Amino acid sequence: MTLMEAADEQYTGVVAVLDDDADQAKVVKIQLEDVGVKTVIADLDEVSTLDRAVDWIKGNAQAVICDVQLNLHHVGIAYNGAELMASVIGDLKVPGVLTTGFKDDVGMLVRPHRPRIPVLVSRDETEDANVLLHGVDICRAEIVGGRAPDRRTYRVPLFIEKAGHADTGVALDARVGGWSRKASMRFPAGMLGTPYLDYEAARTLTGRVFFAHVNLGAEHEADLFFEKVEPDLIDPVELPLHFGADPS
Amino acid sequence: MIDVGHGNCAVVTGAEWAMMIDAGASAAVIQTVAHLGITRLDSIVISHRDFDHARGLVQLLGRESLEIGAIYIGADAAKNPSAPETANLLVALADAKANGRCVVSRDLDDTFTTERLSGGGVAVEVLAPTFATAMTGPKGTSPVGLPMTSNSVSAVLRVTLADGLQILLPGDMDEVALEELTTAGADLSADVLVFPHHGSLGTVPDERGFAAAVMRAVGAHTVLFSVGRAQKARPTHEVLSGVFDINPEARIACTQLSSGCLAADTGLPNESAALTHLTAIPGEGQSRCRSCAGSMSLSGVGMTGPDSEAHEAFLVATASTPMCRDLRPPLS
Repeated sequence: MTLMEAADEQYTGVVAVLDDDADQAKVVKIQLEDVGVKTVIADLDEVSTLDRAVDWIKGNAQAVICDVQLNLHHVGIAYNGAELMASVIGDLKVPGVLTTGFKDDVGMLVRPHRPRIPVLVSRDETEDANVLLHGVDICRAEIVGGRAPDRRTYRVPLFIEKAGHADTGVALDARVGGWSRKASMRFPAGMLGTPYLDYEAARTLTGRVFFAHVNLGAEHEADLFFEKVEPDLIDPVELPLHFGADPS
Repeated sequence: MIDVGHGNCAVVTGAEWAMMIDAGASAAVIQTVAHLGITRLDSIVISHRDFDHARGLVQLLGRESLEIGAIYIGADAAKNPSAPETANLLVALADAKANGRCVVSRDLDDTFTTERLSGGGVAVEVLAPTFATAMTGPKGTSPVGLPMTSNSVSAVLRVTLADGLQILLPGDMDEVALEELTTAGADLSADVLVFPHHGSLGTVPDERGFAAAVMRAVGAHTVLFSVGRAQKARPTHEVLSGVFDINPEARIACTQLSSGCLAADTGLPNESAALTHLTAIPGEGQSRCRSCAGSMSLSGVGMTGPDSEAHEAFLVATASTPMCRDLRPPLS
């Protein structure tokens, strides 16, 4: 039974809501309870570490709706929502939906964890319970049956266009080879190695190409992720020197 | 023919053999390879290295389980190797060569023997560019004395399926290439024409005349347009009129619903499930409800999917100004 169906049949499982914005958490709770889904809002003081949060969810909920930012309206939370959802979905195997109200967070906070988080919903959409419940169903399907076609990855080159400063650290913007959209993908420079946490080091990567596995079926930049990064950083201008012979 | 939006891509299959002609920028390229259960492409031909024909090549190389025999890429106007798109394509091709995965060649002209690309009972001919044109290259002067662009050196392929159906895939062939081919007396005849350059050539002063000239040379009974709804309205009125000037009964099918047939997106179906006329082949327009005929299948006498009556019913129900109906002259 899917959660969407469960909503029609007064599903008895509990959906946990984690958000440092208490008003927003209430909005989500009301939306879900309006369609008959039992909901509990986490007391963030009780889940200040990642381990505590995971344990609390394990004991209290069968699904999770969690915001990326947990430290704007609250202090003392030692993790962000993307880190938590990656653990909850990837390790606990509990389905959930990550929500965000900030576009900048998508690249810098969410991207590193996106391989384990199938569904990211913008804050505007959290007022529609069906969007949230459908997202939980998609997540559950991935936990049970593996990635959907739009989340399957392919080994492709990524061209680094520029380095820059973001609120949460040094960022890189790259163009994904073979992706159908003409848009760049932002991610933390540290994903290519700790030396690139330094802006000057990250800047040297401009114009270089690296290989990674990317979900080319993503419709939007926010849904792109990459994994299995290969260490070679290729300078395409030097390629004519490296074009080898064809296989015999 | 796969709906890749604005671009081209066709998969041709024969007995234990498959090839791809152009690989436009859409996830539908790799999705179709998976959908058809293709584990090996004996060859991939890119008519010219423009990204609406070539970007999907990087996707195909990224599917590590896919065997590829050879990649042949036609020339294009100068591109900067340090620009993102070109760099990614070059790196992907260099990687494929370095790993011994497949032959990669820029050698593509009419000196190709039919045997070189053919297989599985399917014959594939390279009709253009001619050797002389390929040697001269874009921005040069064609053998007929006209200035060439990258479209002038686009490969023009004719595929003859095992059941005899002939399909002309001319990439972005322009009036310069057509003039050279017709002057040389080349046989361009085919049952089905994938109209060049997505139904409009901005550089051609007389699009209607160009379309008529193409139709006279090819004599097709079915004309397909690989178009993206997000682009300017294509095919143009002039091109369709030129097609009908020569064959008023030609069957017309576009991959996506042109904005010339329905201007506002608000008139599109709300859910892709409503597009019941489409084939099962993946297509770029499907998820956004932009399809018209979508991805198409061809064999035997011509187009076998989508069903012509179902496609017609969709058009009548959806398009406010369906060009393929409105511009068709009354049949006597």
